[in-house]
Amino acid sequence: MIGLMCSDGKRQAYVDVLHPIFAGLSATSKLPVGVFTMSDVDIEKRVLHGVSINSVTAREDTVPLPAVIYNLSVQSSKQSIRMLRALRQDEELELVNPTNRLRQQTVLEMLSTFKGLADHLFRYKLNDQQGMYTLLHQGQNLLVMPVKGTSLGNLMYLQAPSPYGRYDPREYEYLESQLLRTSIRQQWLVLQCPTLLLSGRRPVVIRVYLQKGLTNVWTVLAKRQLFAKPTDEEVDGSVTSIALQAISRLGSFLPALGLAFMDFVFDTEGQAYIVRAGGWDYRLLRAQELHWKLCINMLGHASALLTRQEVSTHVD
Amino acid sequence: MWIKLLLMSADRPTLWLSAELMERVGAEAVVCFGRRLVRVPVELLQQSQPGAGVAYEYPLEIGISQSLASKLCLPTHLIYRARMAQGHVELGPLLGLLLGRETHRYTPQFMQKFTDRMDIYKQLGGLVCAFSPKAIDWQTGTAFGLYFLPETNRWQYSQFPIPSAIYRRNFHTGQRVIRELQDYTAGKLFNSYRFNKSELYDFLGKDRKLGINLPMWEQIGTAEQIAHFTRRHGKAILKPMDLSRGRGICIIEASNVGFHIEDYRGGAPVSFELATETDLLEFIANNCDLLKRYIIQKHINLAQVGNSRFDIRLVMQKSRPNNWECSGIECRVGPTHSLVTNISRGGYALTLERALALAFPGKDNSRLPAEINTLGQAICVRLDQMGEHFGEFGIDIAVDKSRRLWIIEVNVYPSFKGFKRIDNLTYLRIRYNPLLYALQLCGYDPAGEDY
Repeated sequence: MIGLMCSDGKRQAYVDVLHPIFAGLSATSKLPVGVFTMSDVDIEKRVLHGVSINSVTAREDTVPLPAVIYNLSVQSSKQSIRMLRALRQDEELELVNPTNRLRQQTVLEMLSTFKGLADHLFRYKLNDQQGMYTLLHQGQNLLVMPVKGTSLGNLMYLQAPSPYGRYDPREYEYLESQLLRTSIRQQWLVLQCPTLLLSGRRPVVIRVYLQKGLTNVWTVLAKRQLFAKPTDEEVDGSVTSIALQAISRLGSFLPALGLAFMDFVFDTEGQAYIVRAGGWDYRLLRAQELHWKLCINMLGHASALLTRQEVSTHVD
Repeated sequence: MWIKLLLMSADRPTLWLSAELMERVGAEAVVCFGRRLVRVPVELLQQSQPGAGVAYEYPLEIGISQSLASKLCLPTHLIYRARMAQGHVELGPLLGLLLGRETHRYTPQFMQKFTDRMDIYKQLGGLVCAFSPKAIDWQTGTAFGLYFLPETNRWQYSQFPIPSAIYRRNFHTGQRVIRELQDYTAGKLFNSYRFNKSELYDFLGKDRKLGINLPMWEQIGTAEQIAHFTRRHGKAILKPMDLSRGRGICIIEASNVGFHIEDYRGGAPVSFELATETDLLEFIANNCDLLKRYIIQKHINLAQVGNSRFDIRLVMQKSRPNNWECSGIECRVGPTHSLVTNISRGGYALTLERALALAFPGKDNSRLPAEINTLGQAICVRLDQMGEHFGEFGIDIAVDKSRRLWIIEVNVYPSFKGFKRIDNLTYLRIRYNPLLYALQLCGYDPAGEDY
């Protein structure tokens, strides 16, 4: 069996979406699927009480802890974080995506060890609230995000004003309101970027979804343009190969990652830059057209893990 | 010999050496870093540096092409040690800290807690790295992790060859990977196994001399066994087989009026008075975790400092293969009237001499430290016969009121925090020793001379 662990209160939503797909696939894959939340897990007894999906039904059942568990959740309570840690440390199971929220500074540090990505990464530094205000008086292009969290509103861009001019007041006020909302010790990641390609007032962002499949090799699941009008094919097309190189490097440092996304922005010449990455993105649950491929890859990857067919994903 | 690398341009992997070294090595050599080997032509480096190479601060320069550095996965900005012979150049050392499975937690910030160990970097030189067994790429013989940058005192992500000597720092890794790494390093991974209490007592008990220092013990099977053992010995301590630091213990004392229980399984100890053996059996039935992976041991009437019991933590570390040394001794004094001595439960640390003087005033305690050291040595020698590779132990020894020594516990992954409070120099030496031992395993002498 493979387990899909979702966030509290989301179990039925996942079952509703995934049951028809896994039911269709179970005849060929022969891998049953269990959907559950952290509160369904009894680590001591090594069982979970979740929804078991087979080719016909989806019914509640108590089953042994699966040997492969996909973590499609974000845990926030102390108790569930402790339990997630116990699952991560459990030698008898493979927890895919042990975390879905990556620290963005860590992501950029890992990616910067691969020289092949140098043209697609911005220089970055950490600033606290005070440092951010200092930067705001220097009149540069600023691409700012918190160290943790990848929600869309978190990626803020201020385009450098003309000499003696001012930042766009609406963008400035938005960034300032974000700064004021947080603790003075909150760290912000500031990316030193050229003028970015915009859609309206916001930078064009393409999110690339990546996933490991049957051969344990990363593939592109989909590309999505986030809060932006469609961009031209050329700009859009360049991200695929960069994303695959980048995820291969990131996956070497974080080998338990099996589902990921990467966000790209573009300069006005169309050059793509990686700005952040994360694990499972719940938005995929609404992308019905991707579900079949998503589930096939999950089953394939789980089979690879179960048979320990370790295939190097290293790219040099 | 200490060396510094000069990056030089060439259209193929190449090494440049001074005339003197070239005479020793020849015109072609196999250059190795860990288990990565590259055969290269050797060319003459037109530089003269008399006396260079004798110290970390005064390294000898050798030239290396970028392609050779890349093939070796060799960071070029570090100071290395080198051994050279006809047709052979070895760069090192390549020392590794083996972390656990949680790769996303191993960041430069996480590694800061290891940075005090790197005060001795100039004695080590080379690449000191940390990696997870999950981030090993067996096909290329490399690992992805972090390595220490002496110029900034920080750790940086990189890919490097699987280290030549590995200090295991985490025990949440399956033994299969540990065995593979042991094979790969020709046995130079240390702390290769963490035994539980049952395995420990069983193994030590088979040694006739050590057996007499072990309190009576049994692996728990039934509630009746607990009741019987307690009746026979008067007072017994129940310990989880896989936990340390006093976690999960429970103490039962039999008396004429029934049984008294001090239960430490939660945070603060809870006491119970039970009138009959039936009540005791019912208590165990209601606390059935005591029947799962627990041992029962005769409770030792520990010597006391005032109204506090104390035991002795002996830190034994290998300084070189087969050579155990005591790096530090501290006494852990428990909270007043407490039956446990763990500092984490509110106790404090004392020096051995001070604790013995307070516990046995007016008596000649001069022979006890040597006896404790001898017992520690004997335990280490015995545990080396397990067929595993150990590099350090935290041995807990108790002295009873008649000054007899008892073996309480041996930890493969000991905590040294008490030393930090009473003797920071000893604490730091304990932190440095495993890296110096790893250096010895690679065949380098911490004093600077290769052997």
